[in-house]
Amino acid sequence: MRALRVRATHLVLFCTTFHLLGCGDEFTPASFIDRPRLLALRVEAQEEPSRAWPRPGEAATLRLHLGFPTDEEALSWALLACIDRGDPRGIGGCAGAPLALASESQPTLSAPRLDFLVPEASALGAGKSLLFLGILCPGAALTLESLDPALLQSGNFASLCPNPSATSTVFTYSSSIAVDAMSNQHPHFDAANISLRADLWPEEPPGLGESCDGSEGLPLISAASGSQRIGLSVSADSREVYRALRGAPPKEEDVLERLQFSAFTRFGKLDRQFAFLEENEPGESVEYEWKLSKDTTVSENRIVRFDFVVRDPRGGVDWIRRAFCLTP
Amino acid sequence: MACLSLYLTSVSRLRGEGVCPSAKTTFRALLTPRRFDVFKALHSPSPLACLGLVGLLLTFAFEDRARAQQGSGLTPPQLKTFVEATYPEAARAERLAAQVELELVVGEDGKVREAKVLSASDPRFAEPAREAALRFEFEPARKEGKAIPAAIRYRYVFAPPPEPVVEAPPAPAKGALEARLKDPKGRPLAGAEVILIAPDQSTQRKISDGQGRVVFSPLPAGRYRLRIIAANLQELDAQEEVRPGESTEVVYRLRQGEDREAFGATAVVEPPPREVTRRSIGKEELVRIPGTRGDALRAVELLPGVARPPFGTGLLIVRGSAPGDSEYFVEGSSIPLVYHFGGLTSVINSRLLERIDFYPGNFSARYGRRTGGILDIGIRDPAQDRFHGVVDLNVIDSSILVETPIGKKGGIALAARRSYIDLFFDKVVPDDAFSVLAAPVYWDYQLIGTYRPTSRDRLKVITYGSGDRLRLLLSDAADSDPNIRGGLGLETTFHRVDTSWRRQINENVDQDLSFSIGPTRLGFNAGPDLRLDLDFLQIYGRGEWRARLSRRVRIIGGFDIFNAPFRVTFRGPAGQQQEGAGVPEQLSSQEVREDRNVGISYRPGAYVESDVLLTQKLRALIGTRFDWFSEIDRGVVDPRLTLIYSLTDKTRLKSGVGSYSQPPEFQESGDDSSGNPNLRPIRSLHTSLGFDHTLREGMTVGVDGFYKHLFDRVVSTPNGERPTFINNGVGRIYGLELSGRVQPIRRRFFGFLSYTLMRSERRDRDDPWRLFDFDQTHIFTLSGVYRLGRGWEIGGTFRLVSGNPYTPVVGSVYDANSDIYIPISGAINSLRNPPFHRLDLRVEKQWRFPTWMLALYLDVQNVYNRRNREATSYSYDYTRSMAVPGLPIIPSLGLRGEI
Repeated sequence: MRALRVRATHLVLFCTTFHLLGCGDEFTPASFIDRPRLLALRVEAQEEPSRAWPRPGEAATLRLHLGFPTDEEALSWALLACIDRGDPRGIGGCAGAPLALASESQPTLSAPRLDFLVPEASALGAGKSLLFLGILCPGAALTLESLDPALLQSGNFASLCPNPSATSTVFTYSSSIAVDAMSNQHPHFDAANISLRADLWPEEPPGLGESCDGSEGLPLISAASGSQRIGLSVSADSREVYRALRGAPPKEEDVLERLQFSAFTRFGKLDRQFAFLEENEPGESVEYEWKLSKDTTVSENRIVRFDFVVRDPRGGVDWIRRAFCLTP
Repeated sequence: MACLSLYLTSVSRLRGEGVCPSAKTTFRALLTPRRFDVFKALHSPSPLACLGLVGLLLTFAFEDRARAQQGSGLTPPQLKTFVEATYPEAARAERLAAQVELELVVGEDGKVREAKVLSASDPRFAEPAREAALRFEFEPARKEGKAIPAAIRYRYVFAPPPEPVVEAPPAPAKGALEARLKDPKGRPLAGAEVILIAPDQSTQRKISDGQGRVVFSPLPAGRYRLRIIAANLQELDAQEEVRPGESTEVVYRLRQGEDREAFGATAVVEPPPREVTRRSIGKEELVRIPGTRGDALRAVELLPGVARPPFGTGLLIVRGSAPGDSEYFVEGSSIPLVYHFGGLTSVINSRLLERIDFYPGNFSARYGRRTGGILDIGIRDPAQDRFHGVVDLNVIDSSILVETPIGKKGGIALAARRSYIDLFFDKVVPDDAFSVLAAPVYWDYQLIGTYRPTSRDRLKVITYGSGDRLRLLLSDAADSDPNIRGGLGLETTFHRVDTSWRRQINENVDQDLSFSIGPTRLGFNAGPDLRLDLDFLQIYGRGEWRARLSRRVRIIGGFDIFNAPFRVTFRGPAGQQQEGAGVPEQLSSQEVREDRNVGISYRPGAYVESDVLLTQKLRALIGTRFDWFSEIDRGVVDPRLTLIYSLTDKTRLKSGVGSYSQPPEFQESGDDSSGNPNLRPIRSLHTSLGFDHTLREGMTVGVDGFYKHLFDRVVSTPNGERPTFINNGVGRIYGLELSGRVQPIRRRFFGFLSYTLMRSERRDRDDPWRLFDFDQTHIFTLSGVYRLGRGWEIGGTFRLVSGNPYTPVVGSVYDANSDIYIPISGAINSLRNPPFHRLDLRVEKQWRFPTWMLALYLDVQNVYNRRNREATSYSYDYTRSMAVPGLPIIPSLGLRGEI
């Protein structure tokens, strides 16, 4: 008992001190995209893309949402899907051989995706979740020809993407299989309620570059106008009520889904990366603030882009992208 | 600075034979010239009429060069005429033994001008002792041949009056006993008191002559016991056979003994023979060591074998053992918390501590359930002379301590402390960091009462408690772990009532009984998915009996029972081993579970230990301890052996080997859903070999080598799969400790030097050997305090320590479910931080007034603001890192008033 008390005390004190001292402020915040980044993954049942959990025997697709500092960049990639072994921590492990593999060993602009078939219920065994592992290499070729789950799980993948000027990304993602009539829908951003300075913030028109002159149909923001308030909303049906075990001893009860928002930008800074609609607390909207860093000067117009991602705790995810034209 | 010891013996004798007068007393007088040391003396009741007036042995030690006595001709008073005091009639029926402490002023003419009672174990004896002392005559104190007045201390010891004499049958043919006494250097020992205890318990007392010779004659045949008492030497207890018509001749050589400070604190000159290694810090040192801010428990971190905890936390890391492997005791009873907020300041007012005994390994069978080290804190008794008070104000907290005698047999002390960080915390916190729901605050209190109903009994009750509280609301979730968001809180409270009864059953047997009870509450939360609420009631009892079976054999037997009904509710990740876990994973990447558990932890233990003097120089302590752990339904038997060889009176060789066990942590042996109830106890084998040497009074050096092997360590299963924890860990720890110490016995200076060379390694499952989380190859500490005079005192502590090992991050994996990066650890503890070094300074100025004292102190930690690297922080994706420095320069200014 004393060891647990000591560890608890130190954890709380460390967190407090860390925040108090602003430790980590010297690093680029996670909300800032300064290199090719994997921002989200999404599994869609091919027959019903709004459903996050594919059924046994169903065809599904894994899609990736990438963010680049400026223009899209070519990258090589490899993806695999397997039945999740169910490790309580760590990056996960496969129970058996991969269900599907896909890769582009040479850099390409085509979006990574993985189509796979969920095994029939009789072949699933005890597994009720899918595990996805993969690697992305910006501007370089992958060195491996076949994806070895054990290699990815070992952490020994520095040599898989030998581009010293880029940062590779190895990822893990777990998603459930719809069994016993349980399922999960993806949350959905309400496009009609995405706001910038309380005004509707429309989607960016396609084909725009990095500069703007105010005719692109983007909101115009002056660099001298200070911080900007961003409002994000999800559709009314995005937050599902589902049965879950809660309390001790655990018992089943209805739970209103928690939603986790992530926000990213490529210029200026957001006040935070994460925002939450907490479990069982009603609501459909969160807000962010964006502003320029103190030492940043804007000498010419430029487009400032944002990515927003919303996740539920059961594998549902959605993303949107917005932009405005920043003037000096 | 020169010190000079002067030994003075004066002999006075009162002897009666046959039918004794009705009032028989035995006196032992102690001359205590001002600032000279005194020595203790014992007496025994005498049923016969023969009582002797005991010779005096005086030991004087001079302090500082101004008092150097080499060739200065300064001599203390010497008793010429002793006057027997009248045994008070009111106490006669009770046949009491008593002691009266007096202060005498002896004039130039050798007559006693004043006699003042300082204390008396029974008030009825005070006036008779004072009246008799007023009629003493002395050879006056002299300086360079000239008589001068002197103030000295006397202790009168009254023995109970004898029982009525019974007509004895005609005595058989008699013998004689001749004892020749020698000091540790083998020279004849003059002036020692020899008490002869006959088979019928009658006593005779004599003083050894210039040749160290004492003769008792004639003596009836039989087995006699002798007790030999001499200043600064260990009391000797022996048994001899007297045969009719024969003279038994024996030679005794006494060894160097303990010393006692004039004001009552005990500085341990050499460790008692029960432990291979025991390091004690006495009262006078506890609150004066620089860098500890007057916190006595912090002083332990500076001792050999103790690793430096990171960030100044209060972790006790002993000889390469994990913090959870060592235990703190207060008066023999386990204490749940030692520091506020994990290391800010200790929960017990340092001025209430009598001593801190630290056992880094090979500790006695009276301690169990731990495989590391033991820290036993002794609480002193309240003052017996008059009212005292201390108020201490500093920048973080304030404390008050008051104590007073109650009658002649008891005393009470009360201490309380409260921090005031909460008064300004929210004003210094950045607005964008978090909101303060409850600012950090801590408090503690202690209430101590003692009562001595008889000279053989002491009752003591200690009531104490502590509380810490902090509640914050984070503005934003952490970038690296979104589950760290919202509320962040910590609240701990505990209360204890400890009662103890110490009784001297007879000359050879004494007992200690103690009982402790009190609730403890721990609550903490960090975000919505990490919460712990723990309540338990600690019930602890100990009974111990110590008996001297013969001159060579003592035996100790006892039991202790730890019982704790508990209730715990936990929400958070599944448990995993703490030590050797590498880079910690975020909460967001771990499966969250909820557990609730109600139960009772029941751990009885029993022990027996024998202390055998195999030869005059070789002592063996053979002990065995049995423990039962209800949480895993297993028991252990731990045998232990210690050998101590006195090479000379100043040098001891010591070695020990023993088995030590402890139960798994309660979350490790929980039910099948979260732990493994089939775990075995963790075992350790301790071996050590060393020596210590007394250079001169209060100056010791020592070397200790040790090796520890750990078996059945609890480690996690790979990736936390069932059964979550297994006993597949081992460890090995070996090293060498060097220590040197100067104690503040009538000195302006005290200090110590310690150096430890050590290696502590672990192996988890089938993994290769790795370094322990807190392995520190070199630990060097130098600390000293010097009293300048005119109330000024300065001190400094310098530490040079190897940096702690750490685990590098060799990559990261993006967890798309939580939008975080999970670090990939390299080889566990394969890198090491740069060496740590730090200088702490302390300066204090005292102003002494007739009835009170004021002190102003400045304690500065890390004087040259060294930015020691303590940890590494990483960017959100672990592609970049930076060093996290430890504590910067921290000045602490305080004001203390004492009555």
